[in-house]
Amino acid sequence: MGNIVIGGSAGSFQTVTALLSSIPRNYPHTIFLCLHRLKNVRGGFVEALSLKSNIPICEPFDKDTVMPGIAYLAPANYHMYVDANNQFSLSTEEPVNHSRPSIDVTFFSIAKTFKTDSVGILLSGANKDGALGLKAIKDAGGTVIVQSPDECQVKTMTTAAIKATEVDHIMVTNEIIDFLKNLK
Amino acid sequence: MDEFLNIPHEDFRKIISTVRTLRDVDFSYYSQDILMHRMTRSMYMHGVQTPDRLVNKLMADNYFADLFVSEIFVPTTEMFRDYSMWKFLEDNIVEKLKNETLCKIWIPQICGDDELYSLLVILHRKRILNRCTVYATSPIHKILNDAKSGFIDQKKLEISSANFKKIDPDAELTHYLTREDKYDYFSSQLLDNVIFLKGDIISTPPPDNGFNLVLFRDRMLYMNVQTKKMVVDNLAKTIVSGGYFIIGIRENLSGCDYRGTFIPVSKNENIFVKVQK
Repeated sequence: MGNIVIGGSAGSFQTVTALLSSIPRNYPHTIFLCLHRLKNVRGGFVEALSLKSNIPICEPFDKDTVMPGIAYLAPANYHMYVDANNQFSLSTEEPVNHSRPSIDVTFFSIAKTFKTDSVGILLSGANKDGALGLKAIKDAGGTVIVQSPDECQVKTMTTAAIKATEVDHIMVTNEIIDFLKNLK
Repeated sequence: MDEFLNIPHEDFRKIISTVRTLRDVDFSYYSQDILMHRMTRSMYMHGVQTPDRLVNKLMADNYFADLFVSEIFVPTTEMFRDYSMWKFLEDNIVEKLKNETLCKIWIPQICGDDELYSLLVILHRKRILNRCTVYATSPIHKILNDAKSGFIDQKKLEISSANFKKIDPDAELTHYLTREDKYDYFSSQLLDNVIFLKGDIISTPPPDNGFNLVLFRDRMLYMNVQTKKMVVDNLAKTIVSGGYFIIGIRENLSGCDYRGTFIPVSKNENIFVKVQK
């Protein structure tokens, strides 16, 4: 089973929705979503993403066990780690790159835990969060994909990632969808 | 040393052992990934390049050792975080606590002053603060002293004030602050009924018993599963029947045998009441 971690910020919501609505039901892989969001708005995001998603979406509780076929969304105002026991660790640590949840935090954790079984995807966004985390996934032997900056509403995040590491693929949304559908 | 580098397991254990020896604080009950991030973050901030150099610096520099230990603990983020919980607490729980002649409250393992000050404001608003004894405990002197000082971090004030406005749009958080030399301090009068004590939730007996409320939000995030279970068992013993236990909104009591001990009062806000026996 693969472990796909997707990070995004400003302008990524539509792409995430497109990805979740295109992958098949009974998807065998686990998806971790770390998206910058308003700190104090607890509700609504899961519901909005669930409207078109083919797989269940939930915000994990601390120490929940990771299950395949589910998309886990980092809760507002918490960093999201996945530890070696395949359990979530949430944290209220200081913001990283002005962000909590921080994409870098989740990407580093996924890289450390799943190593070659990890796929990192970075989408549109307005700061550099995720760039170093994507490099960590690459360094751990995982596959890294960046949304084509030309397609991004805001390209700061993807441009920073391309500068920070040698990415495996630069793809537009439809190509990312094909990649996810064909992932073994 | 990058903020996110891994520390080899042997070095990791050596650092934990050094801290335990030097400062009598046992981090072995911490959730390992977060603990490692806290350590590498602190090393990064202080320019310590390797685990060996860290151990040497801890042993040679008392000030650094205190700072390092306090930085391992994850601080609270702001006052009235999860404002709907505080609103529920004010409207439903504190309202019931008003029936008590005297009220004992415990905030174990404080790490920052946000939870304590938020609670004191709520108790003051409901006019029961003068009938309450609030215990605030931490294994770290620096954390206790910072909370005692009343000093308000300006960076947090904006978000704390915004949270407070969600609880009561007509109220102002600044009403509970005093200004001295350009800095804001939490009103010292509100701290009169607080007892600050050094104590570790793992290794130290509770400061008292018969608590009407234990506020323990977002602290179990950093404990491993076994420790979490032990801590919940121990805390349950300190709460009176009909007393309340509050944990963080993304925490849960799964893995803890709490049925028959606690029932949820609010599932959204993770507020439990101890079952009357």
